[in-house]
Amino acid sequence: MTMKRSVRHLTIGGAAAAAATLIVAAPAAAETTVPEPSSFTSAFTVMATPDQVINNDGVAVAGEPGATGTFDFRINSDTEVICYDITLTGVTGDYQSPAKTATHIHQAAAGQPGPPRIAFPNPTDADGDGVREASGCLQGPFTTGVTNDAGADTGTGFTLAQIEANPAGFTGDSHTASFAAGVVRGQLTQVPVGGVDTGAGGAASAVAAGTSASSGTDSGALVGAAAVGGLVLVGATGLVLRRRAAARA
Amino acid sequence: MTPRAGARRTGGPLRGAARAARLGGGRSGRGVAVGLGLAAVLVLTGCASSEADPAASSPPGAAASDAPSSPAPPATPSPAAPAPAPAVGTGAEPARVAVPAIELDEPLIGLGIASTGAMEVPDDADEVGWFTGGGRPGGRGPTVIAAHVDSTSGPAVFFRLSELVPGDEVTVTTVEGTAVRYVVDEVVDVPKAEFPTARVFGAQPTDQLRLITCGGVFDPGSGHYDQNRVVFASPAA
Repeated sequence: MTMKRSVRHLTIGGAAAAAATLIVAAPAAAETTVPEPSSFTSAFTVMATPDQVINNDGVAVAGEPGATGTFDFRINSDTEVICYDITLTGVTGDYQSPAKTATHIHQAAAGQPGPPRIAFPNPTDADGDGVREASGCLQGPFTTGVTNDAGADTGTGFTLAQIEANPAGFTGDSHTASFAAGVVRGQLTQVPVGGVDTGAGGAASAVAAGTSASSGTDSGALVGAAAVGGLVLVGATGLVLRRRAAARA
Repeated sequence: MTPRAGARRTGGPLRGAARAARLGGGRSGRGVAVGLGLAAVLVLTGCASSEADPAASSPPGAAASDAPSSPAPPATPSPAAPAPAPAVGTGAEPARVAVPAIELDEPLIGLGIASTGAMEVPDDADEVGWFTGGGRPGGRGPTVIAAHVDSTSGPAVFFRLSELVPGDEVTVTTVEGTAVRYVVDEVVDVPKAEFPTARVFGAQPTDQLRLITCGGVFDPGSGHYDQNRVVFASPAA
């Protein structure tokens, strides 16, 4: 009897825990941490340096000498997900910002100030090697913890499609106590997302063999090559004809 | 810089392949018929990434011409030296790439970003292109060069890229005539579904070079290879 009762208690407790988890996982009107999506609509990169820092008055204020940052973003604007890989090198001291974190995307063109639209977790030096890193994915709607003159959070109404429409109008930066205007900063530039479409299959068996030999990958590559062997042979015929034509020309 | 006419968006036909099919015409009826069939079916798709879904909403302003062609900022001190040190500038546009180990020496065309968000690739299977929205040789950030491993009818200009090994030299000559020498650090095959965008295209404080083509298994149904071969290189000492 005792055992049955304790089992029942555990079950109820489990359900309660699950319910609590659901509540925590879906707060209203703030970004959530999500797994990496299977596809992206765009990607952006930032080379952040101290000399690009601008204060709120639009005046150039140098960040930490010798520091650099790289901000890599992949966006799925259909689902409002942004994945980030941020690396800060040569940044020292504590973070500081009126926003809920000190690492942001601001809506600001080069040389101009502008409000934060997304606040990312601050990069940390987990390895003790002086390099601070942060990676993950967030799903909007976004909040920053900074309010505008009207009292609204500066993330309100912002969507990732705005970055895709004008990446140069956005900047990545991070702020520390010693460099409150920014320790490093740089504009977003678009880069390609996903793989590169550089083949049409006319030499597929040879390509697969080369790949398998060089990387020691699974035998599936060779099986796949064999499956398309018939097509490859036809393609090779075309190549021979082409070469003959070239020789006659 | 706006990509020149030689660039194409993913999914378009390969000019080199079409030419090969035409050249075969009238010489072997059977081969030609099948060859043309191949051109009609396989040429349509190439080996685009599964991530680059043409049905997905096209990001407005995704064209490379909308992105600053030179993301590299003005010179800054290196992390190791707080005082102003010899800095990496913006470099110069590349005009030619040579890889002696595979007897490759080709001019470069400009490539941007397709409406799918993926990198444009050359129209012609015999052309080599560079991503104009990235770094430039001699400057900060990766210069990314891409070309086809094959057309529908046979090997293309980057077919022998798979022979490169760490230590091989690559020389990129700029429009100013400067030859920038790189040494291969690493050669990797990556599934397109997990393409390392940041590692290949992401900003870097130093001069870097990437060479990209297709690899892995070709799926005739989709017309795609499932992997990319990526060669990472850094400036020769």
